[in-house]
Order: sequence, then structure tokens, then C-alpha cells
Amino acid sequence: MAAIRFGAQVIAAQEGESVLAALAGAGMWTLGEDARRHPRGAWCGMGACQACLVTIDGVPAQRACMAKVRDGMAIEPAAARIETAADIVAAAPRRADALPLRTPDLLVVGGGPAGLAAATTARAAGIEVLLIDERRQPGGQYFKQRDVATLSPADAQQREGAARIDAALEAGVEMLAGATVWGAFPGPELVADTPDGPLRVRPSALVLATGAIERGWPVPGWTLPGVIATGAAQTLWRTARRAPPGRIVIAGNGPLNLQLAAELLAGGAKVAALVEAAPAPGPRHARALLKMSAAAPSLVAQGAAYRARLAAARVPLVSAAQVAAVRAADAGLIVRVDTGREIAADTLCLGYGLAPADELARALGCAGPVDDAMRTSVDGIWRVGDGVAIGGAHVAAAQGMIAGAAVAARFGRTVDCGAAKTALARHRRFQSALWRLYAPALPLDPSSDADTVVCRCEGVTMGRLRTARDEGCTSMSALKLATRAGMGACQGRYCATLLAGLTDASGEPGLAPRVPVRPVRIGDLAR
Amino acid sequence: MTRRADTVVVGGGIVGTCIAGFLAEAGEGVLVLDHGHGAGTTSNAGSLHVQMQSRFMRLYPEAVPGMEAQLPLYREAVAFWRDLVARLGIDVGLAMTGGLMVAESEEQLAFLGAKAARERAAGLEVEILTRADLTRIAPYLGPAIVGAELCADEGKVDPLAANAALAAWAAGLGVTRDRDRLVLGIDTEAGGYLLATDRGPVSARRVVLAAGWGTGALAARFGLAVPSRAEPLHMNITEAAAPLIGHLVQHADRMITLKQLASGQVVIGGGWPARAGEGRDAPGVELDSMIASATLAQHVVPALAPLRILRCWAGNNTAVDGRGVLGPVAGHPGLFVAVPGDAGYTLGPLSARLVADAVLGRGDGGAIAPYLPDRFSVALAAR
Ligand SMILES: Cc1cc2nc3c(=O)[nH]c(=O)nc-3n(C[C@H](O)[C@H](O)[C@H](O)COP(=O)(O)OP(=O)(O)OC[C@H]3O[C@@H](n4cnc5c(N)ncnc54)[C@H](O)[C@@H]3O)c2cc1C
Ligand SMILES: Cc1cc2nc3c(=O)[nH]c(=O)nc-3n(C[C@H](O)[C@H](O)[C@H](O)COP(=O)(O)OP(=O)(O)OC[C@H]3O[C@@H](n4cnc5c(N)ncnc54)[C@H](O)[C@@H]3O)c2cc1C
Ligand code: FES
Repeated sequence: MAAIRFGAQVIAAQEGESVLAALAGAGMWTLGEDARRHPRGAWCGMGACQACLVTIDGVPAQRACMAKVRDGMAIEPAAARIETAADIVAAAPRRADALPLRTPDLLVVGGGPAGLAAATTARAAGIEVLLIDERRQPGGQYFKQRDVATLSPADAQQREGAARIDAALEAGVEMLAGATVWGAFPGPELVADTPDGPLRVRPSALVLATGAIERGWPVPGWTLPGVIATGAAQTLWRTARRAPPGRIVIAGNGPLNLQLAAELLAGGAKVAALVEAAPAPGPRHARALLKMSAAAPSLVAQGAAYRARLAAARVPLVSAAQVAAVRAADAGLIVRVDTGREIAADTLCLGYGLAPADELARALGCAGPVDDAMRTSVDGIWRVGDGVAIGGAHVAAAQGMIAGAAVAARFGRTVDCGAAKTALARHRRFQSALWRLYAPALPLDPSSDADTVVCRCEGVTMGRLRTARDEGCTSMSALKLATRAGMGACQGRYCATLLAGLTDASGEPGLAPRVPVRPVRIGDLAR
Repeated sequence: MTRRADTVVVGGGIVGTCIAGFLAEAGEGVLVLDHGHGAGTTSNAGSLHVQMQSRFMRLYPEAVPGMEAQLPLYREAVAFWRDLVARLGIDVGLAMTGGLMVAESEEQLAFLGAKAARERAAGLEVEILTRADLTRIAPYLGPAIVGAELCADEGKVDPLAANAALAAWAAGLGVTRDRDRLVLGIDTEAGGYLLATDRGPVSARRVVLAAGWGTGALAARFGLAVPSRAEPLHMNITEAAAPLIGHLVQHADRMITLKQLASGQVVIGGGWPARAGEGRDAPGVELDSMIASATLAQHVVPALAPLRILRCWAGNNTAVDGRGVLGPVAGHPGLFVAVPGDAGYTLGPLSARLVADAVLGRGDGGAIAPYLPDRFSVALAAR
């Protein structure tokens, strides 16, 4: 065990878990102030949204969800503006060519199912592979590993992930975990912030396997501390077996919410309700279920088991309903559902779908994939997995293998990936049937009012955005310049999909990709 | 169908927007046509420059006498910004903090001393500060800095806030603005001009070319060889910090400009190159420019180390010959050019006022005389 300090409070923590896991376990959701000086808490729990910034041992603006607990850590809530110390040493100015440079045959960004498969396949064919992943351990989302090894044993999903990580290492893939790729320039040349300082990589081939992030759900009150993404709660549970104390309401659309509810229940947490936008499964879903069973019977059985667990624990299942608003109550939160029903909660998890994390691909100007081998429009660059389109872990792994084989072919090696192609087709069938099952009763539509925050980072409300649009800002870039929405620390990752709904559907690919795709500390560049 | 307007302004940057607003204030009907890409205005850094910039002096030594001749204009331009912001009652983070140009050696300090003497002769309020002075008024500067030139007339403005406020002001006066219309060419027609655009023709009695780097191509048809070039530049901005850096900070010998906006964010630039865009694409950021400018900034202001860079961006500055190109095109009644000199955001509103007055036939034209487009007249050059 370890002890950390948050403000004046001492909190029991587990060595290795994330700071956010320790704070959430203690029910501490308020981490500082946002741009509007309102209380601010974590949202995505996966390093993308920047809503969980805290000061750790004097270093400001650190992501609580990515920082690892060390005994004796002193954590302070972050103010809206960073105080800088007066006694910092000036470094010598430097140029880019002073940064260390690696030139592997293949660079894989992302160590989830897709990236692991691509790396292992290419490496097994004799190609030199460097894999970089931002998380403390490779595995990505589906194969998320435990940060605290002394906890209850790994589940089947984690054991399968561990086996794939071991296979990659055994094949000779070089893995750099805890390293964030923040820049991508034509060449391609990528730049990462690693535990040993900045690193440039100029690979001969590049596979982007950066996965997905969760979509925002901009209803009134969604920025209140204690309202987090479903994936965030899942990460806290799977990496550190942490569940927030008190009543947990899980709401959204899709199987991740059901899985989270079942896992938390099994761990002894109090799940107060599951709110699902799709109607309850009924006779009209029989065909979809049949197709799913044919493609992946074990996954169907798993889903049924999750439902049975919820029923046994008498967790209210509110079907065909969407969260319409959240407000703070004397103790905790009140969640209002569009049917009018109100549910009390201490933590609300929102899971209304995923969006591909495509910022590196866009910074490199890669369109596509343009063929079945997952090649992009830029020679030597591949894109695979949920970073391209949401298809789930099995589709991701199959695509990774296919791309790995194509990379091998580029170096004159032949790898048979016929099995991966078959698996890909099968899991695509499963996915399309799955989403027929989860088709929402009504189109997903967060009921934002004028005061609802759309851009969390810059505190821009729906009202401001609508006014700007009505004044003629009909493109995303014009909206951004006029309101600052999308200019915050998350680089528009969370609000871009929301802004898109406000603009002409002119096929604009979103906000112009900007380097750095993750904020980068000036002191780390000078290091 | 041909669209009609009384006055068309090509280019909706700081200059085009202000001209449109000034003309509308005088009761004129104005249509702004803007391509919407690669503007200096939407990418600019918000420094209000007055003293001669060492970057331009190094790059274009032959232009130094021209820069000196223009110095009073810069001071007036900053005063004009202040008056405009006060008159319109807009909050754009304008702050007259003074600007420091720092030196790291006796040699650089001597360069600043000579520069300050010339600037003082031109009527600027400048002084040379010692390290002890700096420790008092700019304690954020690192130990390498041995002295600086302070120009009291310099300051800063939040460019995003200013652009939004000025666009709203013009719109409120009835100015129409096409944000995504490229002007392909301009021809004369009876009673005015016919503009070919990528979305159909536009006909106007008067045309003002405020198209930054795009001006040269449009003016050529009228016997003007305005050498307007797009100069792609790289910028960085950090997350918000508590008040740290008061002044606009530049360097006597190195490419660095930095300042803290009212939002608390620190903007770091200084003329580092960006990657030129292909065709009409906007320019792209450069890794080397980012590393070089950020580490240089931390060298000058060590306390920047813990701040994170949130964003880099690139935009097209417009370079001509250092001097503005402002006023009527001889021999073509109703046609005007409006391209500001170096530090064109600082000069933007005042340049716009001078050209708007020329359009409206106000004043004696004395102030604009040194900047008339005639100097690029092909006929004149042939003679
Ligand atoms: C929070 C969350 C939880 C999920 N849980 C499940 C689940 O339980 N079951 C399920 O079927 N699906 C789940 N999914 C869906 C998931 O996207 C896929 O099932 C699967 O993990 C996709 O595999 P992938 O390899 O494409 O991406 P991922 O597994 O997401 O892997 C991508 C990896 O890339 C890394 N990365 C991204 N950008 C960078 C960068 N710039 N620098 C360095 N590294 C980077 C990330 O850290 C991550 O490890 C979840 C998704 C999310 C967002
Ligand atoms: C990165 C950067 C930082 C800068 N920082 C500062 C600073 O701190 N202080 C300062 O004083 N100056 C600064 N500048 C310079 C300043 O921004 C410019 O000089 C100034 O904005 C020019 O304004 P403008 O209105 O003349 O032209 P622009 O703002 O460039 O606008 C011209 C417009 O015309 C449009 N256009 C061009 N051709 C056509 C056509 N054929 N049809 C239709 N539209 C067309 C363009 O799309 C553009 O929108 C900076 C410049 C850059 C690039
Ligand atoms: S939510 Fe982060 S920039 Fe908009």
C-alpha cells in the first residue's frame, strides 16, 4: 500500500495504479476548476480529454488518469491558470536535429489488439519493429492489463491480452510503453514524449493503430464532477479494481455499458440503474441474435450472462431512454432521463458511443484505408483497428494481422493472412448484427440547452456556438475561430464531433489537425 | 447570375474588415469576398510592434532606411488601435505593456544602443535598460539576458477576440461577407469592375484589393507589379498560466517573440518558417521551428518550462518591400490597393482608415502619399 496526499487529505492508494484510480476510489471527483471557474472532474479516464489535470509534486498540468501512484506523492487540485515557479533553470536552445532519432523498419503506434497483431506479424517475418503506446502497459482498451498485480486475479480477457503481449515480446517486438506520440510530420517523422525524454522516429513503414475515444454527451450538467465516461469507469475497474463508492448509474448505448454494470456488480459495487437507448431485446431481435450466435457464440453467451447478473441483483434496466440532464443535489447527482424519470446517483457513467482517434493519420494527410490491406493514400502508412472505424477488438486484431502481412510483403517477405481475412469477415457480420440489436429507440440526441457546455476545455456553451453559427460561421474552422471551441488542451478531440452537428454537412473532415496532438511540455523539449 | 455590390473588398483580413467597416460607417454598401484560407490575420500573434524588428533588419538590411522612415506610422497605428477599441467599446485584451528587445552580450547591447538612438531621432520613446533595471521590471527574464531596449509604445492584443469583435462590428453595420469565395480575376466594365469568382461573377462600382499575398496576382491586370509574397510562419501557444510575462518580448539577435495574452496563454513565435502549403492549402507546421522557438523561449524566460504547448499553427504573412501599398490605382478610377507593411496586424486598422478615406475622397491624401501603389507601376518602371 501507498499513501498519497490530495490537498490536505491523506488517501490510501496502491503502488502502480493511476492517481485517478486512487482518488476515485476515495470518491473524490472534484480535481480543480475549469475555464469558467466551475468545479472540474475527470471525464475520459484514458488520457485524451485533459479534464483530470492536477499538480503532482509541484509539476502542474499532469493527467491524473495517466500518472502512476508513488508512495508519498503530493497532489494539488489544478487552478484554471498555472502558477510557475521562479527558480527554474534556463536550458540551452536547441534544434530538432538534437533530439535522438530512431529509424526502425516499422513503427507501430498503439499497442491494442490491432497494433499488437500488426507488430507481431511483421516481426515474425523478420522485420525490425518498434511499438509505442501511451498507456502504462500495452494492451490497449480491450486487453487493458492490471496496474496493480497484487489485486484479484486477471480475468480471461486480461489473460488473453497478456498472452498476446508476451507473444509480441517473444517475437522480438521492441515496446516503448508510457510514451506518447505527439507529433507527426511528412516523411513520415513522428515525435514522442518518452520516459527518457523526447524521441524522433523516422520509420520505413508506419502502422497507426491508435484506437478510439468516447464521444461526449452534451446534456445540461454533463461536466459536473462525478459524471464520467463509461470507459473511464471500466478502466478504473480493470486496471486497479477501483469502483467509486456510493450509487453508480450507467447510461448510454451499446454493450460496453452492460459489461461495465455486470463487472462492477460482480466486484461488489452498487449499480443503481442501467439506462439504455435501445429498446429491451425482444422477438424482433431474433434474427440479429441468430446471426451473432453463428459468428461468435461465446460473445453472445457472455452478453446473456451479463444480463442475468443484472437481473439477479435487481438492477433497474431503463430501456429505450436517454439521459437528458444532470444536476447536483445535496448529496450526489440527480440524473433525469428523457422519459421524465429521475434517478439519484453519486457517479454517473455515460457511454454514448466511440469515435476513431484519427488525429495522427490526419496530421499526416492519410486518407483511407484505400484497400483491403489497410494501406492509406500515403505510401508506407497503414491504419488499422478502431482508429479507422469502430469495429471492436476482433476486427481490430484481424486488420492488424493483415496490415502486418502487407508490411512484410513490402520488405519482400511473404506471410499468409488468410485466416485473418476469414476472421475479419466473421466479426464484421457479428458487429453489424450487434448494432442492429443496439439500434436506439430514437436517434441519439443530447438535449443541449443554451448553457450546456460543448467544449469542455474552453468552456464554450451551445448558446455561444449557435449564435456564432447564426452570424455566418457555418464551417467548423470558422466556428472555432469565433468561439475558441476546439482550441483547448484536448485539441478538439471531444468537441469536434459535437461541433460537426452544428455546421453545414459539407463533408468537412473535422477540425484541421494540429500538432501537437497531445500537449507537450516546453521543459520536456529542452530536456 | 451576376451579383451586384456598390463596393467590393477582396480579402477579409484585418485590413479588409476594417475598410469595410469604415466605409459602412460612412453609409456605403460593402461586400467582402474572402477565400478564407491562409490569412495572416487569422494566424497572427497579436503583437503591437513599434520598434524596428531585428529580424527584418537582419533579413533586409537594405530596407532599414525605409523602416526608419515608417517608424512614426507604427506609433500612430498603435494609438489608432487604442482609439478604435475605445470607440467601439470592444474587449479585445488590448494592453499597452511596452516591448522589450533583450540582449545576451555587450555586442548585442551595442546594436540596441545604436538602434535606439535612430528610433529616438524618429520620435519613439525608447530606453536602454541594464540587467539591474530588468531584474526590477522583468524578473521573469533568464540569467543570460544582460540588458534590453524598452519601447513604451508597444503592446499586445488578443487577435482572436479582436478578429471576432471587428467582424461583428462590420456585420452590424450591414457589411456582407462571403467567407469562402475566391476571386479569380478582375476586369473593367462600364461603370466599374467585373470580378470572376469560383462561385459566379460579381459586379461592383468600386473594388478594394486587400487580399494580402493574393493582391499581386489580381493587380497585375492593371499595370501594377506588386511583389506580394506569402511567407509561411510557424507559431506556438501554451496553456493558460498565472500572470508571468508583462511585456512583449523580442531578441536583439535571435528569432523569438513572446507575450502572454489576457487569457493567460503564452504565444511564442518570431518568424520561424512553416512548410509552404501545396496549391491553395494552408501552410503546415515544422518540427524544427517548434523545437527551436520553444526552447529559445525557455532560454529567455526559464519559468516557461512547466507549461505545455497546446497548439502550433502556421499562416501566411504577406511580404512586399517592407512598406505599405495603400491607395488608388492611377488610371483606374474606383480601384484601390490596401496591403500593410511589415507587422501588418499592428498597421492594419490605420492602413484601412487611410485607404477608406481615399475611397471616400476625404482628406488631402498627404498621409498616404509615401505608400501609393504607383511605385510598382509597370509603365513607370519602363520609362
Ligand atoms: C475506454 C474504452 C474501453 C473499451 N472497452 C472495451 C471492451 O471492454 N470490450 C470491447 O470489445 N471493446 C472495448 N472498447 C472498444 C475498443 O476500441 C476495441 O474493442 C479495441 O480495443 C480496439 O482495438 P485497437 O487496437 O484498435 O485500439 P485500442 O485497444 O484502443 O488501442 C489503441 C492504443 O493506442 C494508444 N495510442 C493512441 N494514440 C496514441 C499516441 N498518440 N501515442 C501513443 N499511443 C497512442 C492507446 O494508448 C491505446 O493503447 C473500449 C474502448 C474504449 C475507448
Ligand atoms: C503567424 C503569423 C504571425 C503574425 N504575427 C503578427 C503580430 O504579432 N503582429 C503584427 O503586427 N503582425 C503579425 N503578422 C502579420 C499580420 O498578421 C499580417 O500582416 C496582417 O494580418 C495582414 O492583414 P491583411 O488583411 O492585409 O491580409 P490577410 O490577413 O492575409 O488577409 C488577406 C485575405 O485575402 C484572402 N485572399 C487572397 N487572395 C484572394 C483572392 N484571390 N480571392 C479572395 N480572397 C483572397 C486570403 O484568403 C486572406 O483571407 C503575423 C503573420 C503571421 C503569418
Ligand atoms: S473539448 Fe477540448 S478543445 Fe473542445
